[in-house]
Amino acid sequence: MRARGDGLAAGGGAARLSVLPLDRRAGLRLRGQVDASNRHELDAALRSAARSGRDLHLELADLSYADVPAVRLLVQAATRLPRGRQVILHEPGPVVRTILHVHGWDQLRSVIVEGRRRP
Amino acid sequence: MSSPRPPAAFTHHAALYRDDEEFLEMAVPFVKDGLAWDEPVLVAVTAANLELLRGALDGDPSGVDLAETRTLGARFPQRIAAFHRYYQQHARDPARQVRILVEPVWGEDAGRETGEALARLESALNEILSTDRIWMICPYDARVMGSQVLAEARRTHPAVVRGRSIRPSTRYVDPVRFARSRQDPPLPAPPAGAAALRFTHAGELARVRRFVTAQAVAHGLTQERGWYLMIAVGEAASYLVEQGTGGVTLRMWAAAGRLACDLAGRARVTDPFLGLRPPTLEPRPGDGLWLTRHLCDTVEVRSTAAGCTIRLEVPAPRAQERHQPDLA
Repeated sequence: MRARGDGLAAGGGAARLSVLPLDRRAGLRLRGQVDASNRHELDAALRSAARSGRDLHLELADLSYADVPAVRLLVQAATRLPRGRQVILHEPGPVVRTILHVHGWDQLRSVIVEGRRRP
Repeated sequence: MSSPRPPAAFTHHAALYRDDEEFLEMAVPFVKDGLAWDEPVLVAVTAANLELLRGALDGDPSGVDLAETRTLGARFPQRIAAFHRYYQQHARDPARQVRILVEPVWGEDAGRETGEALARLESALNEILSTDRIWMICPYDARVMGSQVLAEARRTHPAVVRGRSIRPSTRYVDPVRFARSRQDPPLPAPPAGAAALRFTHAGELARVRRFVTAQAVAHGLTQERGWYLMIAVGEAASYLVEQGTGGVTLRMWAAAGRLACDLAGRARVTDPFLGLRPPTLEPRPGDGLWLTRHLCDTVEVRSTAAGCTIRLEVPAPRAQERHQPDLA
């Protein structure tokens, strides 16, 4: 997986996403942007991370943009976890938070949103 | 535990009332029956009718949510979301019906919304909420609403209620047919000086978002409103690109305190309710436009054999000042 490119800084290029595993718990740190051009990268990373069978932690503070289908993937990762396990979304930025809220996905029992910050 | 999901069950009635008594004869039994059946009841009516109903029900009975109708918002997407959210939060199990008594927003509270917009909303609800188990009665005050508005109510509600009696409306028109029968006025062309960007592929969507953000800054939007506009345009751009019909032209300009965005492409939009159906976890084409409709003041979609245009508008408080020097 490429570990380069913060979407915002990447001059004239397409959206870039970097995905890193977390050190101390099951989950991923997502950095950059996700849209229709690289959604498949996010999908693949989430599928593989869900295999641990534990709660899935997603650190989102540096995910500066995700479109609706991408946020749906984050939320739907919970459906691949064993019953009772949850997806924990850490520090979603304003874009992800807005999409979660408008769709009511922050109310799902299988999804926990932590570290809400006002922009 | 294996009881089947009830069939599509949105029930949508109009109640045309001429005085307080007629209003109460319909509203009181609707609310009381709901309480007797342990069904959640939302009442969203005018301030005057809210007082009437409080008197008739001896205060605010528990199990009834009372609100002034304008607090649900005047715009189409806000109201759809309010009804759908109430259903989701209160139905508890899918077999339980929810009752909603909701009076149209009218007069000053309606702002830019008109009788035409109201009729379109009422008709569209039959399609958009078709699987929500809501029994909705919409009271129309015949003292203040014109005969044309009342005639539209009969076209947009499958039945009319008076007191406890329910009669099918013989004028009712299928919502898709209703939507297609309305003529949308053509959109005024963007000004020649509008900032423009052309794109074709998903790989260019990041460039589209940077362009929108730069324009938002140039027109003095706050950072938060700039984000909203960027994600609103992002979903519309993504929808058009995913149609695979070639290049899309984005134009942005300010006029009369508003910032407008046009996305024009060769795609053909056949769904009259694009972006108006509450999205679920199951993806459906175009459901990203739900977000666009929530974040913008107005979203207009026009589609012809030649292609389609999606036009979004948001308030741009400083736009007018900025443009005054040009007029001198």
